[in-house]
Amino acid sequence: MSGSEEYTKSREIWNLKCAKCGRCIQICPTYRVTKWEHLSPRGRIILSPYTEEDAELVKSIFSCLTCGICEAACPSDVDVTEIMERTRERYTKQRILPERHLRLLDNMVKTGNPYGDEIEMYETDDRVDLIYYPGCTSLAREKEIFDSTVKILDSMDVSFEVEFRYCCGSTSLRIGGDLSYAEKNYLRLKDVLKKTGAKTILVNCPGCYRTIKRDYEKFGGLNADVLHITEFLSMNTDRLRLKKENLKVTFHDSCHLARHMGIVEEPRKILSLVADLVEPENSKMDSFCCGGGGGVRVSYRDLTRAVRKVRIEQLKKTGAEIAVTSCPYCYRNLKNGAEGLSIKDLTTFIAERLRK
Amino acid sequence: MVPEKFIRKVMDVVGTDDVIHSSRVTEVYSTDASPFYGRTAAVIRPENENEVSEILKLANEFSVSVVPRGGGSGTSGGAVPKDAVVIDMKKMDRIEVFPDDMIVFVEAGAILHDIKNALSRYGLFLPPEPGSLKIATAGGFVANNGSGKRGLKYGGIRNFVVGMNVVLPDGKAVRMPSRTHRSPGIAHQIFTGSEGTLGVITGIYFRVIPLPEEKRTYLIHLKKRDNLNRILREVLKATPDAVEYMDSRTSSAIGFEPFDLLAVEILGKDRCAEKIMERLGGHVLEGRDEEDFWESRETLGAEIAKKGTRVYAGEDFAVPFSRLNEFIGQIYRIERETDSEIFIYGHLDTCNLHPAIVSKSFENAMETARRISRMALDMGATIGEHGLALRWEFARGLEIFRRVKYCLDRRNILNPGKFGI
Repeated sequence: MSGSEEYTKSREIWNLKCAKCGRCIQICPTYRVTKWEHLSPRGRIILSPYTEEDAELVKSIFSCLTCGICEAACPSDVDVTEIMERTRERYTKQRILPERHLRLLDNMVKTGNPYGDEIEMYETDDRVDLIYYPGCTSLAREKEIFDSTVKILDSMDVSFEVEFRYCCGSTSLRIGGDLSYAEKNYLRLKDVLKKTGAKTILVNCPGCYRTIKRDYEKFGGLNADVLHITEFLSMNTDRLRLKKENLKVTFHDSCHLARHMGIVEEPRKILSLVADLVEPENSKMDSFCCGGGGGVRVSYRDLTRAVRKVRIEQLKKTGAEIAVTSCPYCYRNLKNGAEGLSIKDLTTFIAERLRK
Repeated sequence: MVPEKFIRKVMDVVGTDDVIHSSRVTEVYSTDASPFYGRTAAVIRPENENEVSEILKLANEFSVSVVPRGGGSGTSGGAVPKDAVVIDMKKMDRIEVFPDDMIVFVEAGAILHDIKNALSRYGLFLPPEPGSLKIATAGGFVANNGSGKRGLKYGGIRNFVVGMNVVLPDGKAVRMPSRTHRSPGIAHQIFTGSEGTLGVITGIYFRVIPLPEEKRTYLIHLKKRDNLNRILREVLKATPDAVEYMDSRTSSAIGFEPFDLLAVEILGKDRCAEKIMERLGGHVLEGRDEEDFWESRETLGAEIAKKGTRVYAGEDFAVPFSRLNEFIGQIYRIERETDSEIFIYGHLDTCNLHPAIVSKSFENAMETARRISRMALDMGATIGEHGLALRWEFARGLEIFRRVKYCLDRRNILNPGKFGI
């Protein structure tokens, strides 16, 4: 390697296992819509050791959708999402954040949820087997998901109680906020489980699902099964009384539900009961982000819109009449840019097809 | 640092959204897949040939060095700048197929995989294929005179370049279009393999050929490496389309029995070649099995990275056929002495080996790479297909290169520091 020594320095990047091969670049949604390498996983990994007030650097770190598609392609098993979240923690501690991210964290302090709204609270002391935790978005922004879930559970004669006081902490964790919000809800749910004797927590939101099922392990875990609504319904299809229709639908996998948590067949099993399912380009573990993940929608709307446009095109190409998802946040984001395509959350879609 | 006035004038050309300077993020453009790091003064993204031309004129006016960049998948540091501005070509990615002429025109930033897909829609293909198919750009591939598999029958990418659009270091745009499969003169070929030192390639005309109706791959397991040269000679008699080699460690890494392996690709129907393969005990792969095999071969270099710290350094050597076995043996000796793990694979139809170094640390990997390079030089080996750039110790005929460089780029504006110049 003579003649080139001056260029060669040991860098922290090698400690992050990244061989810089570049396999993550073309598949990254934010790279795909910008073609900037610093908005790709390899670029972000190279920049991850720094914490500096530099708008473009901050954008690189905080525009990662944490969708994890790069991890699926990475031959070196680099934990890109984990590295991004740890990097964001450093920025957050030093308050080097995009302005709207700061506002979101302030909302968490003031109201306990990222929307900054007073969200309707639910609590129960009744003895029950199943606790339904709807999460912030299903209660504060997309109430039809909450209403549909309740309607479905009632139609199945499920005995349950609704519980919601605090945000699960997911948004804060994904953008590098501290653990305290997650821990607060963990303690709350632990208490509720004790009081009610419930053995199962049911959630709508894949963000809540990942946080409660996986991230709460850091605090000791909950002595309960945590189920996403799609898991619960697919385990109980015999209790669902549905109308089958001559309808073509496609399904958008949420990154958190599919890649982060491995749930891909369950929603398909349910949808197949009522409609003909067609797969879009990029589905299941290879799903393409809706553009709203990782807090990107908060401060980098242009990126969210551009990524969403790609996803909407993929969904439209299937020729399906309706695109269904099972994530309140994906639903919220996709329907804002649907351009003529009908978007439904799985709960609403199923609730509309219940036999009376 | 580049003059503020230069940046302002460049922004007048490409707009403010396609220039980044004075930001830490330029560091991303200071490296590629090699272990080398340089320093990027600014990143500029042109959208057309005219913008490239204007940028180079300004670079001359302000004496600013310029490095063209494609996918950043090079392993010899060809795109690594030394206090230079980087022209990122990836926004120029147009692909236009002329199916009746079996010619494709691509802009320099087009990704090879996208070109492959565009061609397959017309039943056409471009035989040279690197492992970085999904990352590398056409411009980078041509600038490195890359090859990948199928080197014996088809040669490197040079053999498929029939025309080119280039912007010279002084900003003069030169177009050398071609719709024919043969093209006279050396003009465009000067830039093939020039690694961004003589001009900025903005577009390339490739000749392409019809996809064969039939294809198959034979796998030959070698129980003893001693027979490698003899069997290889037999295989080459069949004039196969590709002969890929994996040592026992590499073949077992992708799920095969731990024996050295030859994969022989035969495109089209060739009874004679089939007979030779049968005589050598080749196991035939067709259809999905064959596709799976080549898919795993394509990701092989990267798969090895799972084993530990993988540094893409000192891993591309064209070796004299007569010293193939000896070369492999010497690599294993270095492996033992440096306590690293080396996976050897490559394109044996051109005796081009890629020893992939996996090590416990970056420093150890680099030391292993240095020792392999020294051994390779002693053995008369050279760089195969990954470019010389910052590994110019393997360069030959540098005097000629210096003179050509002086003719075309007297002020040494383009990609300075490469080939030691």
